[in-house]
Amino acid sequence: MVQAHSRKAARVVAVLIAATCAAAHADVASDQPAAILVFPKVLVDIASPQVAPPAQIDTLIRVTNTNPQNAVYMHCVYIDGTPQCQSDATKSCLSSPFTCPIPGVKCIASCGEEDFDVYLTASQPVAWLASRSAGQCTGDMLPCFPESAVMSLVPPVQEDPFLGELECIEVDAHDTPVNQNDLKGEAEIIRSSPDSVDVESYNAIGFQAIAAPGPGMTTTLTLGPTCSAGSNNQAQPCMGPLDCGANGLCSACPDGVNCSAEYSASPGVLILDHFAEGAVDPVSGFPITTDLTLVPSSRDFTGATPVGTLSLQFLVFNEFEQRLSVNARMSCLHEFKLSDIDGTGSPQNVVRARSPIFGAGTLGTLAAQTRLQAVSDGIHGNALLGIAEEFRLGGGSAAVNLHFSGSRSQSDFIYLPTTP
Amino acid sequence: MGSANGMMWRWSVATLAVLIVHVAAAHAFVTTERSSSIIIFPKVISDSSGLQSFPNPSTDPLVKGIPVDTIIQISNTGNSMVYAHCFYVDATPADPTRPPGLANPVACLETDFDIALTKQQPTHWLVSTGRQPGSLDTTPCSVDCSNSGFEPGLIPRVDDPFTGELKCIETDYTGAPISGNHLKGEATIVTLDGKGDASKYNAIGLLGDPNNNNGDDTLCLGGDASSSCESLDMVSGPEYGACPQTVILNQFAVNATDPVIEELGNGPSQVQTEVTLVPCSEDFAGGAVTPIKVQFFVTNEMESVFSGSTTITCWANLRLDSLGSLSKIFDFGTLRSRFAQTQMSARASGSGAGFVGIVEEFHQTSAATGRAAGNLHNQGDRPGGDTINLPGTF
Repeated sequence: MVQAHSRKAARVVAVLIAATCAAAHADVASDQPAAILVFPKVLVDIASPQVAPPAQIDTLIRVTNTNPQNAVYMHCVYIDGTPQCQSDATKSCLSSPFTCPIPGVKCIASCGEEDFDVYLTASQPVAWLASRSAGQCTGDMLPCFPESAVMSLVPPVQEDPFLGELECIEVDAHDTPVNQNDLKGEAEIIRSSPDSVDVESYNAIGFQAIAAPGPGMTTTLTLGPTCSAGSNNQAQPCMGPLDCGANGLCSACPDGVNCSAEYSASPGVLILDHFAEGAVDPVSGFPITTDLTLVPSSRDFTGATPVGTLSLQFLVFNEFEQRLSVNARMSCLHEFKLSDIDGTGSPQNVVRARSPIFGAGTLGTLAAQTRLQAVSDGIHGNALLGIAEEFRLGGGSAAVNLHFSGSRSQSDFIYLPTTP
Repeated sequence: MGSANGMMWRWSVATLAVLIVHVAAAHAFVTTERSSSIIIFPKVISDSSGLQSFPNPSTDPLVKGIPVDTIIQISNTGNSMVYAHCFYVDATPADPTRPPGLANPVACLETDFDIALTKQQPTHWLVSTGRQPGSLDTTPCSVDCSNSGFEPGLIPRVDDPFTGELKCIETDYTGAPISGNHLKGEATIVTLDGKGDASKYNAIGLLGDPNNNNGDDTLCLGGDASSSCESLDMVSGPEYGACPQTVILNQFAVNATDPVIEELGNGPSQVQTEVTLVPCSEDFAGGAVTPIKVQFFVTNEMESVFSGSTTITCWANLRLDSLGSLSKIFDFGTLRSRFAQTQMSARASGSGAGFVGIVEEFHQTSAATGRAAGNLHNQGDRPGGDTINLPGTF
């Protein structure tokens, strides 16, 4: 009897410990090594500069294995969010929707993917240019991989100009996601012309692995622990056992079938502190604008599900504690100036937005705090990730990571293709 | 038997309580993207003459840096009024025309002030001017919006030049520290170079433990409970998250070229890196400064490791090409690779040796310079913990 109670007590403690520990690292972070890295904005504009002519633009990707003992592999995917004229898929409308040959035609992204593998030795930092392929070093002084990482081969991005996202997932030698958090990354978007240089830098956003993959679980990555089968909130995300009721277990892999290595939950709300659009910078005297790049946490790299449309909600607070709101929509990637939501139309895929709430004339203060989220579709949490960039009219810019608040109340998923 | 069962359950509950405390402590790490109870801006510069800003201090007194100023943004992410007590730490050298060093020590003087933010309120100020009540603060603007909005309080201006840090600690309306985790912040370093080039980074936050803050003038950051970190709560322990055990930097080797500028044929180019480090422990009450020995482990792309160390006091802006013999381990000639990973940690394992920081890169050609700042990565918690001593009211 005593032994039975002892075992029961031990089991309860073990379950609670497991659940508590699982919840303990449920934060997405850009300042901690992680298992999945997301670079929301990769920009290339070299051949015929559209974004900031005459400057050409390329993005330097830097990834480091922080593990001093072991080599790691990562599987990476470029997602092409370059806006193109719907009437002519070969014509980019990255700079403006009005560059399309037929007036009024939609500017949409292909959302196509391109994947590759990279091998990093212990503690190794590597880098590559988004516009170029990178393989073993040949002495031409472009970023490359030394002999020790000869298995790495990075392709160039799909097109020029290119606006897209990069995701890298830590895997083993067989491309199976692993329960390790060894990767950190940075991206630098560099604009260069003979008489100017402008650099902006942001950290890759990291999802922490929180559980080992189960047997045969290699193709569906669940972002956020969920309640086990038979519990009150089956398959719903949870932060601890109380969320799942008396018979439930808050686990990283509740059904043991449709999950692989499991990861921290996506952020609930993104928070952007920014300057009012068009307000004058008190230091340089130049007007300031802010670009926001958003990508969804959920991704289907199998191509089985058409890229859907997300509804975005924005709440804006000025320095007088006044609150305004607006909404918009996006697909696989959304890069826009806050002032474009003011009503000048969208350079890409904002479908609805005519409310000048981000302008200095409306806000009436220099600083503002904007909280934003996407609406869940009932299957995916539809959490967002993103970065912000500040531009001053004189040509200077700076990028910064967004803040997060809470965790998404529904899981997001990354679906990987199976190896034939 | 009943007694045995009860003991087992009590043991289980006790174990769980300990583990929950442990997990809570482990969870309370340093963050740059979650609202926190202590926010740290490691690099704040106001320098209208370019005496201390990049590329100065130079050995050539005729070479001047680029004039810069810093805009501070702080927001209340909560739905109640929030108060904070802020401290500037002035680390300008005694002779601002020369680099700081043994013969030109930094001041390490603190200036403090209070701010108050209504629910969800963002605020801003320019460090060279501060923010004085009674101006046009309550008048909405249309273009020139500097200082518009509810007054956050009297914010003093800094001296010119000023190099140093800003720390803000969330308090209640009486000024007692609380673990509300409502503050977030950003700093934008803007150059007066004719194009408004800017570097921006997120303030570094230390999460407070809402159940374990006794509101006294000694703030315990991580570590175990000690006499100086006694808590009123039954489960005593740290009041705030621990500072990181290791701070990780991924940088260009000193004298390495920028591959984008070179690829586009706009070279020759060069990338220089400044790492700004500040201690987590502060004695704002007594003004004592404890030096920290920082150890560097640099790994190049071929997995070769180099190491070195230096000492920081209240603030250090380490330009990797100007560290004397230590610069060798960061140099392209030594590393033989363009990129490197540097892991930084305090050599001392005891308390009071934690630090945090940010990085700023300068990409140069003969015609222009572009700058970009970034937050460093953090790994692990310092077991020894750190302490911030606040000045009392008298």
